[in-house]
Amino acid sequence: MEAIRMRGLGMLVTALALAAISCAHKGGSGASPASGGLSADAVGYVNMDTVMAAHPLHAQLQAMQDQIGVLQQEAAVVPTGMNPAQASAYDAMQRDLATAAQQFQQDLGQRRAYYERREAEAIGRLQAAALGQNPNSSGILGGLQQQYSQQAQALQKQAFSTLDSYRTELFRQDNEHLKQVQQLIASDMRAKLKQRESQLSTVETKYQIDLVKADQEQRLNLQAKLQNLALTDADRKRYQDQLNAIDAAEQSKINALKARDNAEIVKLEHDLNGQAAAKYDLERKATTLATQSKLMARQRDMQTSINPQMQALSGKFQAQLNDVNARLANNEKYKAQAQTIHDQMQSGYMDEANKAETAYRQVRADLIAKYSAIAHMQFEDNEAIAAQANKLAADRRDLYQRIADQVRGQVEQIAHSEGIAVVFGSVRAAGTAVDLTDQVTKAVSSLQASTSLPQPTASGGS
Amino acid sequence: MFSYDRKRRMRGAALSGLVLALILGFAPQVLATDIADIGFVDQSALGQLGPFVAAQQQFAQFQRDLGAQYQAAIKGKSQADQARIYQDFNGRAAAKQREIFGPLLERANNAIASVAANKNLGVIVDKTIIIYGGLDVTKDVIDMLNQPGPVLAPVNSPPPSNVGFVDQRQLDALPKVKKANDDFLQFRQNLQAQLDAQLRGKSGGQRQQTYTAFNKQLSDEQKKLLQPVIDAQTSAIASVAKKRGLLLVVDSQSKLYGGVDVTADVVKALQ
Repeated sequence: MEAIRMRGLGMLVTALALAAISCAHKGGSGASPASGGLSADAVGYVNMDTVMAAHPLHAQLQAMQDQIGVLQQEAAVVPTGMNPAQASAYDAMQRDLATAAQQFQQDLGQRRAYYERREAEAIGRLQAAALGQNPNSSGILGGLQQQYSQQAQALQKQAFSTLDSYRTELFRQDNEHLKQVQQLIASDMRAKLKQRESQLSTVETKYQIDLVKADQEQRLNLQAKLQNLALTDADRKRYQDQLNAIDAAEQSKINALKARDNAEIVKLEHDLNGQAAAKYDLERKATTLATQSKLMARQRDMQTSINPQMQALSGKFQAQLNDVNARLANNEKYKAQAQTIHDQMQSGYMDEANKAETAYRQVRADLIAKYSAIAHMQFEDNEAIAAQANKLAADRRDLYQRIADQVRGQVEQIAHSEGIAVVFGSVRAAGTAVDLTDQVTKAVSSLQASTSLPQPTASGGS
Repeated sequence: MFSYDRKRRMRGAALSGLVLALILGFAPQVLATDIADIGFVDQSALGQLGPFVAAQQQFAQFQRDLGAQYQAAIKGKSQADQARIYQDFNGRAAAKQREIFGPLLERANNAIASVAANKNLGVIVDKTIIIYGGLDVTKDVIDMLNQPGPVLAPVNSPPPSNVGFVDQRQLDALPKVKKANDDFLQFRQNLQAQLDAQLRGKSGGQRQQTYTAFNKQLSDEQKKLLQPVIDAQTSAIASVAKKRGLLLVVDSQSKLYGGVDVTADVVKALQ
């Protein structure tokens, strides 16, 4: 019984599995971009190098590539074994060629800018006329863009102006605060200095009195002796000298003390100055930090408040732009006229550019001929060789593109028949994707070289 | 004992059925979703938009000016000085490139990400690597780029994808690969010096023959030095792709949005 129940469960699960497969295929392949009736739900890839190598025209492609390589190398070659006069002529030629190239590029840029401006003006007038506005006004789309930019800038300007006022006010408050701090610190320093000066002065006075007291008896004794009128001149001089010596000794001791005190005051002033500067600096840093965080917070607030306004503005102009675009897109007459204007401008520019290029090539040829004659050796125009290489590269790209288009057709057919939805042409490595390289290679190699290739594309391919 | 074994076998059958149901029932759904999730963008079409063209012209002008300055700067300088000046100018060009193209590329990346998010795409690659199928979202991206005002990146992250990508620059930085590249570069430089000597006094067909021989030697050496490295990388990437159940792995430069980054796994496998 147990075995039957288990088998029943297994069948139920299998039935569910089948139902799930059916649902998955219905839901999954519907979104597949593969065209055609087959259900395509796999991813494939091909090695394009292998496939291209199998194409009957690959040898031609390779020959072109080899020739391009040769020309590119030739274009990069600098003549060797030149004597100083030849080297000097070669350098002068390179300078003149570079100047000519620069002038040509500038000339081309100016012509292009001129035609682009004329085209933009003409299209602007045409758009205005098509939208029933003054044809003399500048381009409608450009006008809308300008209007949007102006309003967006006004919004930003207003927000930044408010922020700027706030910043100015914060800086003013900071200045005021720091000035007060500076005054307080200076006053505190002065008080400390004064207090110490006063203390030292008291000590000095007391010391002076003590010295006088200590010498008082001797001094009075000597003064008494000097009052004796019978003293000889020699004795009088001796007593007077002793008295003077006592005064001088006292004065010297007092001066020494004062010098020590002065030195102490100078040191104290220096220390206090240092402490004051450190204290002020600490306060200044704290104030700046606080101001910066306030400013950042305000800036964040501003950004938060301005963002929805900017988005609303952007949305409004997007809607206007969509409306204008839709009206122009549905106006066949406008589209035809715009295309004509573009074609005329393009053709005018191309004519002038071709003439300018011909003249430029002639200038280069003349310069090379001139300096070759000076140096008595034939110089090559590396740019002309590079241009030749570029032309050949463009031809090769064109051929490659046409072959690739043919390969693409083969890939499409094979992918279709194999139920492959997407095929990659360049992968680093494959996992579970299907490798179609062999199939496509066989199909491509069986093509005849004479089979007409698709017509060259205007772009020249990739 | 017999009954127990049978019961276990039957339970095993039921479980296999369930696993089968999960594999057959849900895996195709996942696979199908992934395939529908592959989009592509024609980057060359984006490059033709006004701002990109203007940026290209601006950069081209800068490069021309810089080129003239470079030529003047290296004149009469030693090889070491020239190399240093070259590096300096290269750095300046790269900085200018970032300055000019950075904001445009960021806008383009945001537009691609927004379109991918709107269309629920798991990966968007460059058009050049898709030969057939896939969803072309180029027009949607261009429409978004043409709108005035900022293009904001979507808030949601890409849905899971079965397409992987690998950053070749990181693989090139591995010692073995770097050595092979350096050896080849050295060989090329030596050969180039020989070529210059061989070309002296030759003209026309002789020059062409010399160039052809040079290119062949170069190509042979490239195969000898670099092919084993490339093969090892391909094998490692394929192995990682299979292990992680990926359909395939593309170069990161072709990947524009989403996908699974397998670079770290590949680097580990190659070490």
